[in-house]
Amino acid sequence: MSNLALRADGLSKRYTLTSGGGTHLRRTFYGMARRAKAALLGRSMPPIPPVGGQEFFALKDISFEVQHGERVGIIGRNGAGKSTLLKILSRITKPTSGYAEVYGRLGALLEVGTGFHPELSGRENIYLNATILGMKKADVARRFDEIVAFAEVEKFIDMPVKHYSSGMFMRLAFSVSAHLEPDILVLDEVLAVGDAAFQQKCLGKMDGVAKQGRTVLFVSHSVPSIVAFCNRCILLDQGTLLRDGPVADVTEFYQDRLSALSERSAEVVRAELTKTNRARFTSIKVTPIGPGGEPQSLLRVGQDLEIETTVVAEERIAHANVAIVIFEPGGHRLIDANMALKNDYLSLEPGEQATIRFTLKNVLLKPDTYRVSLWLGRRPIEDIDLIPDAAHFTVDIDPRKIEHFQIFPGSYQCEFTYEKSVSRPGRVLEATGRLR
Amino acid sequence: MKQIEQKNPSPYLRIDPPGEWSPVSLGELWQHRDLLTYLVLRDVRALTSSTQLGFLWIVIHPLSVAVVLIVVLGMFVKIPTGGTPYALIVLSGLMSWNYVSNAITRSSSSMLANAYLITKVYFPRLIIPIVPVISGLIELGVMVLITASAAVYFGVPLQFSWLFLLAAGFVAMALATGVGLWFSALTVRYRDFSHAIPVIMQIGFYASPVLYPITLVPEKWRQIYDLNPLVGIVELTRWSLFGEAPFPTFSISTSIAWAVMLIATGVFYFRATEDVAADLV
Repeated sequence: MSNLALRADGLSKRYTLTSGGGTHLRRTFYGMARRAKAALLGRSMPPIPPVGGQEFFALKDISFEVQHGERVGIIGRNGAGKSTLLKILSRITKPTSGYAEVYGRLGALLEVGTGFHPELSGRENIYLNATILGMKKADVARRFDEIVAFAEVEKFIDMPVKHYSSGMFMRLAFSVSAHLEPDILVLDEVLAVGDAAFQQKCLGKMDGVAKQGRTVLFVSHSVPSIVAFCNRCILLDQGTLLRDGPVADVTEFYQDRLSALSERSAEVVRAELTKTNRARFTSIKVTPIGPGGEPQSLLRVGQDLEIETTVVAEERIAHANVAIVIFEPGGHRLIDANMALKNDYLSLEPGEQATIRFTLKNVLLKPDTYRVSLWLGRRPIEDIDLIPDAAHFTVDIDPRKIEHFQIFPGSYQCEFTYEKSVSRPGRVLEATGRLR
Repeated sequence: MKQIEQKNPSPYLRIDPPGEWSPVSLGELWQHRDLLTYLVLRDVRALTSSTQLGFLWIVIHPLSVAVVLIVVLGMFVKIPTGGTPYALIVLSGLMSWNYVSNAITRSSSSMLANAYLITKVYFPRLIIPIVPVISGLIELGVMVLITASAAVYFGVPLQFSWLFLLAAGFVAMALATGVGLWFSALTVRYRDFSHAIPVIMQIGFYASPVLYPITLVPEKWRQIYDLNPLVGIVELTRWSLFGEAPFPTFSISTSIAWAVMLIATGVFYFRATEDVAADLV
């Protein structure tokens, strides 16, 4: 027996851009008049040309199959067609051509709390939201206590939700969604709700859903959440299916593609904060280095990073130190690298230029964007040049290494090993156990 | 129990492009009946809560309108009623008119008002224009009580014909559903209708025997006048309450014919619009 959960065959969706909503009444009457005239005269009329030709394909010929139990991530930039695909699969809108077949009950979550009404009590909203999502009243009643307990709103359940805090509101909304039990779950990026603790709880719940062998389609533009949650990934780009395969392969391809599209290394720096005019930084270049030593446009956790900067001297400088400092987004100083630490100094004659290249080895920063600042001077005598915000670089997850894609809070991840030993210190317990 | 549920063979669903005109799946509608219940509850709650007087407003609003009309038209203008107290004419007229016009107006804008649902989740869209037809029954119930009390006050005996009010109510629901289906779908496609509908309703108010007894309509115009589907509903209501005129056979038949025709065609037009609604609202 086939284990097919979902098949999409040649799905396309064309949108016609009109100003405002609805279609043009005048155009419709015009079309009707033309058809009537054609019928009366007994000859065919050419179709009316589209208004301004403002048509575009949000999806073009998408085909794929999903087996039961697969967790498929759908990734792509804004406008890639992710949401349109989701809307077609969840039956909100119809495809322009092609078809999809669904084998099983499909539940779609495009947002949490759809239809919540502020005047209704928590209890009534649970029923309203759950029935909107396709549950039966009896099913909701059966799971009611579970939903309320998960949302932690027991005391307020008969109070209108307009009196809820936004946290309580989101928890309740998510809780209803999390207790849907479809065979195939289609999720938009709805996980990012509530405080950190509740997010962890949600992710745990979602993971539980997936582990029960349920089929999940998860749409996101975030590589970390897709890698953490899915075992297969489909990459959409401008409405077409670009890649479909194991999650590590596709997300790696996507990361590279994204970074190739954006210019990451800043060649020239605005040296606006020059302390003296004796010497100044003129450029900085941040280059991630791939595993084979080749420069690349993307820095993944655990790879090397090259930071190259040039200094031009107007006057003679002697025994100066060149330093780079890396700050995390919150502003905390994380990494220092400078020539003095390697027992070297910089001396330049007027007009001379020096290029200094630091290579940061095995950068185990958590995926985030970091700031680089440059300093030239003689500690503690003088600052010659200081650029607090010289460049930024972004660390991406490595989809192939689990310790580098499971994102926990914090800035730094070190390599680690561990040993485990299990013993049973409770001999007493054993003895009492026997006595019984 | 749960085991059995999970072992059930998976239902099979096929998602196709919008195709030929097809009727509504009644089975699917029945599956979503709980949703209808909660959407009606939501409407009713929105109507009454967060005000100090709450439910009382449902009574105060139509009653104050009726009092003004009774004073101005009944006592100043002195509309001839042929013996029936003018208060009863106005109350029975408003009772039918308020229900039908509220249901139609709310139903017409319902698809746009619920755009946030339509674009986020699938369910049979047909539920949406039906909700106001059902939630309006609360206000209708209140009006029936007011009107019946007034009838008793004016010495109308409780009689068997009052049961025909149910029939009038049923025809009114059917008519509102039929018109609501058409107007809600048309409003999705052509926003012009959200401007046109208030105009149509305004004309309808004076073209229906709400403020005056039907006896004031010149006999030679009666055939055309009776084509207005509201005439039959108002006349049946008046006949049931204080049956002074003969049973309005022709006009109520017209109303029923309109209702049946509008529902039958409206269902198809609505179905065809439903497929593109999420893209247009």
